[in-house]
Amino acid sequence: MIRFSSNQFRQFEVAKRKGFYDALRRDLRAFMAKTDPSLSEDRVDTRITQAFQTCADNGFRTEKQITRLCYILVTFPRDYPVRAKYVWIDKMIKANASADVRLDRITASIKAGASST
Amino acid sequence: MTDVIEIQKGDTLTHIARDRGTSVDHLATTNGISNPDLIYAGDPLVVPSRPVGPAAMSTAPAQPVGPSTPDTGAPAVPTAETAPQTPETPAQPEAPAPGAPPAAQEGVEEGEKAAEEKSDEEPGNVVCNCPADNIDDGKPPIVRAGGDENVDVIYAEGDANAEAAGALGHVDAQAEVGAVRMEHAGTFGDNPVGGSHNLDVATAGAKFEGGIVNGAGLQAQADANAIKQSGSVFLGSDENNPLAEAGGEYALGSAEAKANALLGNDGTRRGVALGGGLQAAAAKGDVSGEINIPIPFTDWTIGGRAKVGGSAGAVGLGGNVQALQDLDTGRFHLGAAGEAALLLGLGLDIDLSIGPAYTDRDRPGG
Repeated sequence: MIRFSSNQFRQFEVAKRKGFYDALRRDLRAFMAKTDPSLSEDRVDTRITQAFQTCADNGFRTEKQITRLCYILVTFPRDYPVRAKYVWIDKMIKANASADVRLDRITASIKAGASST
Repeated sequence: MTDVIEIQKGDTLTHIARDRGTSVDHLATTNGISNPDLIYAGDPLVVPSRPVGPAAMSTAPAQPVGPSTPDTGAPAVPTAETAPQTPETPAQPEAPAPGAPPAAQEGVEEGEKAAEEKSDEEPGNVVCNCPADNIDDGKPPIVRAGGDENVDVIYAEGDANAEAAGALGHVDAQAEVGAVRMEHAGTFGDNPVGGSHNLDVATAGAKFEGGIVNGAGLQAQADANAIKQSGSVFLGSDENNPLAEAGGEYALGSAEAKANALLGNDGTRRGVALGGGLQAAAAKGDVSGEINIPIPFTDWTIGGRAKVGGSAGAVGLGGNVQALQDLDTGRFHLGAAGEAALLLGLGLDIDLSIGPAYTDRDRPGG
């Protein structure tokens, strides 16, 4: 029987968490370089960090949920919660529903917006 | 233009759609609502802005929401009588979608594609494909002011277990307080050479184990140290099972009491053991050596460990003999230890063992 100490598990968890966020940050940087090349590296990293924090603050916990929301949030300006034009997404992020339901609503809203333009 | 409203108790998508001059389908699509009959009070809902009247229309940008009536040009606001009730009624013009940056649509698509390769677990969650009881929480609960994986600063820990183990049971209790406790061990890079370092400053601890299964056993130990420090170097790539290790330890202002008894199986050990001792020392030190020889084609090792020590400003007497199997590690041990001190003291501790390789650096006394 293989036994794992709690210390070994903590190390696995720390390494896995760091690996996930490092990889996602790299992917988001590449994505933003494509979609908004005018943004400075500092601003890119600020938006990514803000997106990570928004996920953590609002119950987007799984790798899939964090990935989906971050890719959306980094396309919004940093002050989107106070811009009348974008306040809807802030309200949807904070709505009283499961993370998956909120993500589906946000996604549907953006797709509907794209299809009507 | 769009608004974000909060769904109120008693609202239905049909009512809201009528009020805003759009369709239930469009509201559902725009807001990602899969079941239009199921909405929740308090949720935000993106809706078209209310249609404006003729006076306002003269200054506001034309943004038709409902079909215009031919005589006034004002958008027709559907009423309860005229509003579409079902998707089969003529489609309403699309309400403007909420504002989003141009790249947001790409973000949705790229995010969904990237998420396919991601897990449904939290990033830090290691998926353990094994029973939960295989996760051995080797450390008791601890409260501390600071530290990291290997260091505890101003700490207190305590643990008490009463676990069923066969016919009667087993108890286990331990408590420790201290200013600093640190443990480090590892190899130097990828080289088959490593070292360890332990330091305790102003620590005091007590441990007790007891069990009655097909036999009876007792282990008790209490110690306190103003400063205790040890270090070692070893050969081998596994810090838990070094091929050869040599080390030394010193302690200043130490006191220790030990008791050990075993006959039969107490739930954690099986064999015989008898020992006890008391010692207080202003200063003491020892040197130790250990070898672990892997047995080919098995995960077992043959191990030998010896420690020789001396003390000054000391008083104490103790001894221990044991021949037992540690049921936690599966290893068989044969050991003896003795110490005597009156101002100056000497001590010797020997342990020979065979069994599955160690999974940590803890070693039983001889």
